[in-house]
Amino acid sequence: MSRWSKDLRRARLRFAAAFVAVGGALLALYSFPYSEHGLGEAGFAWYLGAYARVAGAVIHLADPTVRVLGAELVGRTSLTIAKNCDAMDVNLLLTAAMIAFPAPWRRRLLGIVAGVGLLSVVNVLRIVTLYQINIHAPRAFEFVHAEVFPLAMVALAVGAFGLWSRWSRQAEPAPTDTPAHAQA
Amino acid sequence: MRKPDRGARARLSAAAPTWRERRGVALAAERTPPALLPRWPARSIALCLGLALLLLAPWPGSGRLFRPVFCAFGNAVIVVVGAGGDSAPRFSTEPGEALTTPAAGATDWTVWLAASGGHGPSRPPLPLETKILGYTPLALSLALTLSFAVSWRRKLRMLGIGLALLLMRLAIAIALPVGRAFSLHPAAPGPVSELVWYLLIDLPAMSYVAPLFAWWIAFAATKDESARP
Repeated sequence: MSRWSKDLRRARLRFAAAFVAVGGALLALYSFPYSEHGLGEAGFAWYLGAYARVAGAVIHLADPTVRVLGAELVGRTSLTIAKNCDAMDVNLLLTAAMIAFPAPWRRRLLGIVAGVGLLSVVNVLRIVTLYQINIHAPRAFEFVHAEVFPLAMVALAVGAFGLWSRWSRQAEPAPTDTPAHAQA
Repeated sequence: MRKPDRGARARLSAAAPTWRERRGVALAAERTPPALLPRWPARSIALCLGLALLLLAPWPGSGRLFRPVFCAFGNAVIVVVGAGGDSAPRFSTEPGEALTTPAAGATDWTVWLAASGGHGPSRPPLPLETKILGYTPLALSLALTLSFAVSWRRKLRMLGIGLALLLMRLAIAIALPVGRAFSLHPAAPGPVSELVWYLLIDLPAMSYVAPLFAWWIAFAATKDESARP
C-alpha cells in the first residue's frame, strides 16, 4: 500500500475517533443528570418552553386556538415538547462532525452556526407538522414521529455536512508558501 | 566562455524551487483533505435513498419475518453474556400464557422477554419493539453499502464490518436492560453503563447515525483491490 493511501486511511480513522470523542462529550454534557430542582433543570425547562412558544407561534397561523402552557402545546390536540424533541442529538452530532473534520476554525464556526440554525428551523417545522398530523391522521403519528422524521433529520444533517465539507475545501485560500513559479 | 552575469544567475535561482519551497508545497498538499470524504455520485445517492425507502417502508408482515431472527440473536446474546442469571430470560414472539389480554401498543415488530424458569425473580413478559432498535440500522447499513460505488468484493467486506459493529451495538442494547430487569439485586445502574446506554441506544437519532458511523469505519478500514498501485 502506498504511503499516501496509508495516510488517507489513518486520516479517515482519526476523523472517526475525533467524531466519537467530541460527539460523546457533547451528548454526555446534554444528558448530564441535573438535579430535579436545580438551576440546570430550570434552565432546561425554560429552553423547552421557548421552543414550544416558537412552534406555537407558527401553529397559531393555522390553528388560532392553540395555547402554550410551559412546554405543552394545547389546541385542537395537545403536544408536549420533551427532551430530544429539540433535535439536540442531531445538532450535537453535526457539530461534532464539523469539529472533527480538518478545516479552519472560522469555517467550522460558520458551518456550525448555519447547520444548527437550519436544523432548528426544520425541527420547528417538524413539530408543526406533527401537530397537524395528530389532528388529521392520528394513526400515522407514531410512524412519522418515530421513524420518518428522525431519518429525515439525520439525512438533512448528513447532506448539510457534505455540502459544508465541500465548501470548506473550495473556499480555502492558496497556501502562502507556494513558490513563485508554481503560480505562473 | 562567457560567464553568466549576476542578474541571470538570480533569475535562474528564482525559477528553480528550493528544497524548502518544494517541502512547503508538499506539506500544504498534505494539510488539505482532498479525498477524506468519498465521492457519492448522484446515481449512488438516488440508489441509496431508494433502497432505504424500500427496506424501511411499512410492508405488511415484515415484522413477523424479523421477530424470530431478533429472538434467536437476543437469546444467543443472553446465553453468551449470562445476563439475567437464574431467571434464564428468553425472548419469544408471543407473550405466552402469563399475559391473557393483548398488550396495548403491541405491533408486528413486538417481541416478549420473560423468565423461562430457574430461581431468579419472576417478571411479567416485557414487550420490546424491534424495528427501530434492530431492523432499521441493519436495513440502512445494507442500503448505504450496496449503493456505494465500489467493487463487489469491497462491498461485501464493508457489509461484514458494518453489520458486525451494528450487531455489537444490538448486543449491548439487549444485555444491559436484560441484566438490569432480571438481576437478583436490582441496584441502580452504574454511571458508565448508564452513559453507554444513553449514548449508544437511547438517543432517537442513534439508530440512524449508528449505521452511518459503522459504514464510515468499514469504508476507512477497507480499500479497493483495483486501486492498488
